[in-house]
Amino acid sequence: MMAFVMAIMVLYSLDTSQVIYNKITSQNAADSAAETASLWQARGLNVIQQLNDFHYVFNETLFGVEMGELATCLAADAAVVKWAADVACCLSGVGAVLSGGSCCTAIPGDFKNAQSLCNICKKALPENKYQVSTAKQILNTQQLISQFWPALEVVFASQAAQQSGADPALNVVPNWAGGAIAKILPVSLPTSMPSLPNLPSALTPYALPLTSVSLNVEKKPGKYWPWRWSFLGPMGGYLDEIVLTDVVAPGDWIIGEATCATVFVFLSPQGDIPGSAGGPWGWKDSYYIGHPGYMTWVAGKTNETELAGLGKISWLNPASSPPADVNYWLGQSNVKMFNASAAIASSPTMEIPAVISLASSQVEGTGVTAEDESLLSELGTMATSLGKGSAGPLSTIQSVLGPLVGMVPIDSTPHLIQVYLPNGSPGTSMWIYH
Amino acid sequence: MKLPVIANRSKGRRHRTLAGAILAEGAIGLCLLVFVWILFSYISYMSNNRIRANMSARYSAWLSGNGVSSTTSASTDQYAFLGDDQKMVTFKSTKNTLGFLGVSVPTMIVPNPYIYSNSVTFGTNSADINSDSPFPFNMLALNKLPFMRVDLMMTNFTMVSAHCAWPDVSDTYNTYLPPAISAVAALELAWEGGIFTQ
Repeated sequence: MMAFVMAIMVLYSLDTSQVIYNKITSQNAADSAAETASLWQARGLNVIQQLNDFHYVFNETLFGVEMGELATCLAADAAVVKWAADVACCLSGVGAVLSGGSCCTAIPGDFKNAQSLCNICKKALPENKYQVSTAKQILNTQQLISQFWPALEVVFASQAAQQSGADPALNVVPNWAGGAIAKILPVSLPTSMPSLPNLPSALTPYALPLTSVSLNVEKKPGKYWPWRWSFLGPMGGYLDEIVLTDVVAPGDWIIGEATCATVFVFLSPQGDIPGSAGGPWGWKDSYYIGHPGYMTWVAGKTNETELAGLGKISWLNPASSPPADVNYWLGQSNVKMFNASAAIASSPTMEIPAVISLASSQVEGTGVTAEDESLLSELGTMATSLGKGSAGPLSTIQSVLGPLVGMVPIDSTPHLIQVYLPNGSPGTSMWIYH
Repeated sequence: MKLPVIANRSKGRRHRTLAGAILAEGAIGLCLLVFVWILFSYISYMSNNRIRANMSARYSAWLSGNGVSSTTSASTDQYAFLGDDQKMVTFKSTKNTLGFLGVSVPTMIVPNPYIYSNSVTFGTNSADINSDSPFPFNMLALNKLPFMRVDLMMTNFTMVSAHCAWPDVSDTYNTYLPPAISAVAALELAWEGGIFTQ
């Protein structure tokens, strides 16, 4: 008898071992899923930030080029005036005599000079349009990424969980919840979700997010360079932008147009007035900024039939019936120690329970932004309120960037963090530290 | 009164028979207990091995995903298996490509869509067993009963394995744009650049 009882204890230890193994496997799967999702989130942020930086450099480059070309408009104007004076001088006869004929001989050279300067001047407008349309396309690409990327997070996190040994999450979660609730309340819940019709097996989720997986980035206008064509910002009344955009640049262009167009028909037939097609000189641009919060993922293993079918023995578990395989192989349906009563067949059986595990992750680093002090501050507030990691990005942003004007570091990286429940409070799930 | 010789002999024989039965039952009971104890030891040992293998698989997969070479990842088994146990660990790392709708993601579109699936196998098989092996169950792996098929031998019954997968977290796209996005951006710039030819 003692040996028999010990044998049963041995078999129960097998069950306990299986539960522990399932728990570790599910935790591995949840951790892997959480870090995979965080990885793809970080990749998405870095891609968007690279486009931000490209946008920023593109604006700066075009700014320099446009300024040079608009300055050339003044030179072109002077060259045209000189050419016209040479022509007048040469035609008057008196002037030609007084100048010794030099004004006549200078006409071809001055004409060529004026033509080349006007050709440079005339590029200012198409480049302004190029700048505006390219910025628009970059923003469209960023919008597409911000909307499409969360799907990559979910799909690849699910695959990571699957390859780590998790069971389909749509079976695990209700299975676990039903088992837990049935122990508290006298109700029975369905142990699996109804199967979704026409769901490809490749899309079967093996891990589910409990929190938002959004990149949490959005297009925002800023107050400073390079968001606006102003270094001074609102504190300086945008004085530099007003002078450059509303006075100097249009003045240069009007002068260049007035003189060059008189001599050379060079402007495009439409949109030769900044603002009608190419937008205003300079820009009041938008960039993407944002920082996602933490994510919490769940993965698990479904319940299993007890090893060796001990839970089917009636004196260990009176409310159970023998499984079909026991009946078949051992012919024990008539043996009294097994309870085959149909009336209690639906009662809960002893089994290896389903287990679930939670894992949280978040992206750490600068996030997505550009150089605007007010927006840097906003980003820092966002990251602090949404993030749960110990190394928040705010200090990084402030220490690295500060008042400097330069490209933002592309440094988003994925991290596993302590488990946080969807309401933001710390969870108690097992967390394996690396 | 002196009993007959025959009567004395029969009484002595009855006593000896009862003692033998008690001894036999005791021996059987003891054997059962020993058997159960051995079984319990085996299950505890194998359960422990399975859990150790699981933890080791996770750690090695995590290292692989963080850019540590598979050779180095294999040497990290020292954290889960101590001493001579390390000699019985087999490590395998597979670099899988993530897929979408059953189709692998081409690296030309999304760089490094990799996930490392690492497996750790621990234990001995019949080829590893030698005479000074410290494990008492190893001998069973070599047992072959008469007329027993070879495929029914318990060759790997002391082996456990576990696996875990981890993504390639060492590449966060922080130094380049994915080719698909770069190509679209280049086409867009070229298209917009056509303005200059007007």
